Amino acid sequence: MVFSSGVFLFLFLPTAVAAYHILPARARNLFLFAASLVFYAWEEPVYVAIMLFSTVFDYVNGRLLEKEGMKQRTRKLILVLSVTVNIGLLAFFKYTNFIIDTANGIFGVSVSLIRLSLPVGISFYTFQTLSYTVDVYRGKVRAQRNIIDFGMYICMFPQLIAGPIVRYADIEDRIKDRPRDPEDAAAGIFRFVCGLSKKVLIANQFGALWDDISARAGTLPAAAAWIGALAFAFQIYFDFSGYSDMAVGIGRVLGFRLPENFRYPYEATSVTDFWRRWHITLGVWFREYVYIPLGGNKKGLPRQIFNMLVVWALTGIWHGAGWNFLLWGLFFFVLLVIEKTFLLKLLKRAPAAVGRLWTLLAVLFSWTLFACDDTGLLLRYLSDLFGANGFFSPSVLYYLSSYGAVFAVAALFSTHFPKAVAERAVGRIKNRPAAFVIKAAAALIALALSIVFVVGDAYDPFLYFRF
Amino acid sequence: MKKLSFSFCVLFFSALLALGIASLALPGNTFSELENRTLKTASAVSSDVLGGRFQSDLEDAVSDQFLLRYGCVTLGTEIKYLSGRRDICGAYVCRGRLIRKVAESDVSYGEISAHAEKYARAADRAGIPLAAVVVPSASVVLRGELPYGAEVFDSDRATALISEAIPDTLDLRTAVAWDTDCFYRTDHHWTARGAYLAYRAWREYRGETPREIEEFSLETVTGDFYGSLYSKAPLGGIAPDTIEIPEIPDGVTVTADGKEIGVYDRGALSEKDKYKIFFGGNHGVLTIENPAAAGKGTLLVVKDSFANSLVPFLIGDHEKIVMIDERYATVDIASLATETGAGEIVIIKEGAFF
Repeated sequence: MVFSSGVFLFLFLPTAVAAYHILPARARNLFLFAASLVFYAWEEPVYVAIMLFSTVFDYVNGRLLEKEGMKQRTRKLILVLSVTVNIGLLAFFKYTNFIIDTANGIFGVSVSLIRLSLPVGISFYTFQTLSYTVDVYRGKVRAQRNIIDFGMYICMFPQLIAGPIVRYADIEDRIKDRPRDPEDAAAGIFRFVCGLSKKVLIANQFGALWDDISARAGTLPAAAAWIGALAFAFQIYFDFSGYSDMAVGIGRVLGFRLPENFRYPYEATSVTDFWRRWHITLGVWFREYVYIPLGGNKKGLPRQIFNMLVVWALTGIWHGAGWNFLLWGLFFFVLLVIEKTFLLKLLKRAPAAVGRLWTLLAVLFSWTLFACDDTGLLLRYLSDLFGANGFFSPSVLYYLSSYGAVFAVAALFSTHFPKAVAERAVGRIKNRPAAFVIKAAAALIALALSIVFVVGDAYDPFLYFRF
Repeated sequence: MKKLSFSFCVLFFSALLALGIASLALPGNTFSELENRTLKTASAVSSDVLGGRFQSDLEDAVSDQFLLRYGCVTLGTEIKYLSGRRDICGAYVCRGRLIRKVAESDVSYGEISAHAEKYARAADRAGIPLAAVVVPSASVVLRGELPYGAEVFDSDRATALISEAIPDTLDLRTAVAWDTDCFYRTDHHWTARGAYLAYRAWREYRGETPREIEEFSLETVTGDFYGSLYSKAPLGGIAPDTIEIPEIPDGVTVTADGKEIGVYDRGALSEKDKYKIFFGGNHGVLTIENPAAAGKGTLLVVKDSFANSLVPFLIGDHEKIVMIDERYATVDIASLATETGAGEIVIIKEGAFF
């Protein structure tokens, strides 16, 4: 189920939230676990078994790691086994066809591809279970003794299919006992509506524009190609951060505090800064479980650069099994090394606008690598970006007039200004009912508008062929 | 504040749930005329959970039966329009009218070429002459009406591919002085005026004298036609269209797929797609016989829906017209031509989707 679908919005979410709060406290985790399985099985009635396997497997590993009298060598073995199985599952489903395809290309053979779809969310929950086992091994967290509570953590529906990646340590203190505060729940609703609006009111509009422009790749004047890249940049930001907002919001309604995933990334003053603001939980994960274990920056510059290479190659292919994703990750590796070695120092001395411009251009360019998952398309698009088909045509004005307003809204809401202005406006009456009523009214209006678009976009005129 | 927050939470989630339950429980529509497709109802939801049918059916039912569905669609369209959007769901929004967007990516030049060559081979085998009347898309001939810079497919290329395979091709883009009254405001088809001008150009192209439009004594059958484009972009500022039909000579009979029908199906006027008044829509094979024109021979027309409103102008000049719509029937054109004793094959199709 996706958050912006009718079944989720009008049936699953209200029922789940109501039942959760009506049930006695001790039944809530079991309910949440069960509801999450329904939520997952909705998309993946078969693959739910894989997620349950991961859950049970890592529950057992966690318990074994903490068993008294367990030798350090055995513990290490358990850890290696857990990592191998978890990564193995992910690799099997995500990368088998990519490897076969690549091998076919290199060796000129034709091994047939396996016919398996990628289980939804496997990249996310695998990283969650890994964080748990590693942290138990390191003694950072205590192993969870109750399998229901553990299953609830792994499968919790708000963050199940698109993050944020919640490390066990992030919510350990709220697994058994969660405060139930209506003010907190209301804040969660505001956050959810905010995310829903970002997704359906803004991201989806850019989706239409990007489809339009990318379909013309190979004939685009440079200006139109850059408009397309900008459209994709806004689409992916409002889509992904909107989804994260919805997850954090629902989490809050249920009494959790899920980690933040975005912090106005397009305001970043360097690429290094960008990655501290974009998909934060993934960055933290790679830092904690790959970069630092490899030695981080403690073993000299060459080793540090090597560690970064590993992290960014992995980050790239984590996003998808394709050469363009690897290229995308390595592109950032190069930029980050450049910044680390000298550029960051220069940018610090320059006005912030210089750093912002550099970051935006780099990120915009990177999105074309990310979005064009077909090599032919990528090459055509790249040549368009650099003027192979001229720089300007009337279509550029068309795109600007047709989408200018949406671009303006998106640009504004990519910054912290709207929030700052709103907070300032209600600042003086902050804790009075009037402020709440204003916020509630705004949320209901945004919800109504979002519903208009959710329902309207499912409208599907089917004019010619009804056989 | 706690009380206020609590009430808000209850209000928020009960409103969502109420909308969901009411949409599914209240009796709804089973067919959407505006979209020309059946709607999923709650009772038609499959019980196949493992295969995922139940899930996708329920998703469809919730959105198809949503209480305020049409309100949402129109409001959403108006908001998009107000935000500056000028192509909505494949329709360009122009001054007071809609024009179908036919982008480069919608057109398959390979298919155009393949079809034209196939027709040439069929005529060759049947041993009769072949001609093509290439219907222009409104976005090509009414380019001045489109939003500035709007994308239009390469109609030169499409026409060149057709006339390469079929030398006897009438390029209607240039043969007619098109104006905004030639196409409906809310539908992608041409009006009676557009169809008449095409008829006129075709007769002149053949060196014959066309009948004047007055001779067809056009009859207005409805002033309340909201066509295919309006379904895509239902906007308040666009007025409904008027449909006019030419008079048909007495004694004409029409047989479609074995059944006798009329040239005009006035029942369609009470439906949404009123353009179906012409022959009641598209048919695989349709035969028109006009005893009054005995001796004037048989014409085989391979066509799309544009021809439905053009052919009524041609009826007076042929003893028999056989129309084939390949989207609705698989027929061997050459053998059908021989069987019906056709003296000529004319392809009447929109160039973009030839």
